[in-house]
Amino acid sequence: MEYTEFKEAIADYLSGNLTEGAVQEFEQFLEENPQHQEEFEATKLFWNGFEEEVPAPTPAMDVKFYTMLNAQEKTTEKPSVFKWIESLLLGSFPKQLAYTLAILAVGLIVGNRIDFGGEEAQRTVAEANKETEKVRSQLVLTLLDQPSANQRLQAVNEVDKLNTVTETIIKALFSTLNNDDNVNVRLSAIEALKNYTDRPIVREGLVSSIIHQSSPLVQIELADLMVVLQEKKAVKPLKELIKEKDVNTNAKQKMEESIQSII
Amino acid sequence: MLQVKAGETHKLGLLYERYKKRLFGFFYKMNKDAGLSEDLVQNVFIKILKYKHTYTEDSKFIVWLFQIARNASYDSFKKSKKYMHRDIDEVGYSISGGDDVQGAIIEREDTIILKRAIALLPPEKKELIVLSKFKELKYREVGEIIGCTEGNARLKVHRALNDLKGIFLTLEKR
Repeated sequence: MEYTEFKEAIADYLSGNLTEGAVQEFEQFLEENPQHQEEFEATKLFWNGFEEEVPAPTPAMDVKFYTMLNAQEKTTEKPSVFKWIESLLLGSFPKQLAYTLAILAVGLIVGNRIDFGGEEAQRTVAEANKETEKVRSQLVLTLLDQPSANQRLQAVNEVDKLNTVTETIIKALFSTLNNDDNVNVRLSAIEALKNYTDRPIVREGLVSSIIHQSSPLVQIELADLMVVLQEKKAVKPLKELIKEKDVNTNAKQKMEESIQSII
Repeated sequence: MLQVKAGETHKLGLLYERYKKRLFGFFYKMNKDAGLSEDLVQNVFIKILKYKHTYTEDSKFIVWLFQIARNASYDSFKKSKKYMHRDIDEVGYSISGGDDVQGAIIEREDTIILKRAIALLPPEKKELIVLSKFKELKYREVGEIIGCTEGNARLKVHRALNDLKGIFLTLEKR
């Protein structure tokens, strides 16, 4: 490589536009001709002058984007006969919310206005509560099927408001944990399931979902949970996951520590 | 992107998460205004939805994305008229007259001069270097974004860097 070629190639080298061979040639020239090092460093200084500190965008940017996206999805949704029937039967989220509130209101009015006597009133309130729970459960299941991640997150949060959780909801949460595209939704599903770890089905489900996880965040969260639960059955799937090729180093380290803590 | 084009609008969220920081960084380096840069990121994604039918597999998504980003950046310059010719004295004043005087004193002198030189570099040249610094964007992609050949893009990046050196040396002599 001649000096003129070297001089021409400095910007190409800094911008990553040289081939592997040319990079080697360039670096070799620099090594053999240290008198040009200063010139290279000066150009590098100019190039790196653009690497200033960029502040992180605020969460408001995300909120604005997802609001825009949701609005866009609603306007582009094509009305079909099936959708129309479905909306008539199930209703959209605001409708379902309205139903829930209406049932609650009916329960309260019935409880306040009509004096059925102690036992009778209690039974009515219990029935109204039962009905509310049923609607809320239905709401959770419907929201979990929505394409919008925001709505699925909302579904998982709704689970916390339920007094009794049915097996169907537990299964839906596991399906979310194992199949949802969005990491935040999967993490929320773990948070929701944490409250029911006294049930064997939940503990077993959590153990068997370890191997399905590809996100390091979810892997770490599950590994932590297994330590809290001291779940010995989790050791085997954790070891299997560690052996996989693409596992993040930090997640791997965390899982190894968790295995030690469990044993 | 092809899925978004086919009507799966919600998939745009994945693209947003993947590119939002790079886009924000691009705008911020061009205009130094975080609020405006956030608005411009939003504008880019609105435009993606509006013009999704024009996207083809022929070019990389990132090239198409930065073509839109570049237009958004120029539109905002035009609208706000923020981009005006600034001479060396004006920039010198605006930097030395900033609030962070103490920080500026501590900073090495040539770094301050370099910052002033970058501020004086015309936006179309600054943009070339900012784009070339993205790992995914080689001269070929930069050329596609700004609408010229690969060789021409290389030449323009070289010239922009030389111009920056020239401005730096002028400032240093003063």
